[in-house]
Amino acid sequence: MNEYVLETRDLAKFYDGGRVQALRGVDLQVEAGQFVAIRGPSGSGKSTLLHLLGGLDTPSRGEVLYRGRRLSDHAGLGAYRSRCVSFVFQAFYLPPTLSVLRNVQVPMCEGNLSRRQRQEKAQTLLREVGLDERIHRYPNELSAGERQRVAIARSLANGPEILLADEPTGNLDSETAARILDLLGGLHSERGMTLLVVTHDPEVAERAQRQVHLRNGRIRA
Amino acid sequence: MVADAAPVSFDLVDFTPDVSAAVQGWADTSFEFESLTILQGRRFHGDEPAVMLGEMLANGIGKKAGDWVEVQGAALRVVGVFRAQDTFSASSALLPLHQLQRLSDLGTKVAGFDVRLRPPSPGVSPENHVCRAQLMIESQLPRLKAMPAGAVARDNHVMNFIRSTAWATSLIALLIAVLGVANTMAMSVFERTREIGVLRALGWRRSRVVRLILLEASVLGLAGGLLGLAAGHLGLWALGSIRATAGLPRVYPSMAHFAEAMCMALAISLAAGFLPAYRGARCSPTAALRYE
Repeated sequence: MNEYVLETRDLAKFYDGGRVQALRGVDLQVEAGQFVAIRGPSGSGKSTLLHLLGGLDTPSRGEVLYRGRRLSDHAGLGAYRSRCVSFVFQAFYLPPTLSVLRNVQVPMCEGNLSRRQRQEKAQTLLREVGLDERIHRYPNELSAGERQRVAIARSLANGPEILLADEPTGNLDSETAARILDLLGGLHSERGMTLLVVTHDPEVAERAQRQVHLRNGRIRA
Repeated sequence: MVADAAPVSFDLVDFTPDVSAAVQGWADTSFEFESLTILQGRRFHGDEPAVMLGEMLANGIGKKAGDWVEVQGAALRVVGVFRAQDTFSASSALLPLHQLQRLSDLGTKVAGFDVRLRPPSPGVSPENHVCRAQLMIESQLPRLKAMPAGAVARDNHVMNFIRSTAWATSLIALLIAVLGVANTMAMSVFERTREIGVLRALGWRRSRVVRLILLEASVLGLAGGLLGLAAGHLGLWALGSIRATAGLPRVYPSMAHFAEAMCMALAISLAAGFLPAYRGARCSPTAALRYE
């Protein structure tokens, strides 16, 4: 019985016909409920690894397994991305024409919830991240920290098991970053979510249960 | 077989320096009068120096029953304004046949005869009946060519030219519309590559992304269609108000025309939006997220 929620075997990703080798055979196992920080210098393959784990891209070699099952065996990566994993990005990526409430509902469009249920669920999530009084605002009316909190609420919309965060505090000042880390830490401890965070920030890494160091596309021993 | 025959003449007359219109010369006894609805005044009688105006022409030159108009240098009294079943007649004038022959120096010549047939015998199809009548007329009057009214309109060179021009113009307009919507949608998808990448990263399936883009294309197409209809309507009104074009046959689009135009706008926008939608949805989320 495989106990890993995520696992990679000889995972490699090449670009430009193999001239650029972003990942060169990564073997990684992540247990359910673990908080893992992925560290490494720029260009070491951190984000590429996160994208492959999240099914945003397909590997050039090797495989990603979710609960022992290869991602390529999933009926659709869209379903995996929709239900099993979720992303938080450094640049938030909130569509500016949608209100905070609508932004959080975006991932729910693929589900079977009614409009009213989606709205109620989004309100609950926004209350959880402390933005229940700003649900009708638009992203450009919010501070960077608030935008990231909206992005985190959005990432929880479909109740994923795994949260993948790519430099979630990269665009924030230290005080706001600490609040976002508290929020992520809370999600990990209260919801038991598996959390993989790509970061340069030693403070973020220190909060993780485990640190994975990448260099030149390989995990450093 | 022939129930009635009425001689008819044609000419093109300048009613004002800006407005020219077709004039038909009919005999006082012509059965064609039955197809007209008199809106003002009366029909002409005998060879009286009078003219009847189609309602579109009357509106175009601002005349009513009782007014006077000048035709080929002769002052004629407008004795009536009529509504016809076809746009051509509604935009033309009617003169007593002999008046038109005199004014146009036609002598006793006529351009043709309108012929009305008796109903076909039982068991004879209308087409066969008309065909037999044609053969009979042409055999008895060898210098004449008999044609069904529909064929006259269909085979008319001017009408064919107008029809071809209208089709060509419509096709060019359609092509421009397709290119316009396709370009707009391609630009929209291009500018929103990263947003599409985010939606894909959040679990949206390709089909949903395609639907979203096609929905946008449809809204764009329908909005364009509505604007086009409004502009077209305004254009028709403007053409009818300008003296130089007031005499031209007017077009009165029906609700069916509007519905057809909106369906066409929708179909064009969906067709033009499909390729950008497909390309947008095919884009890898990672590539889309890296897009600057």
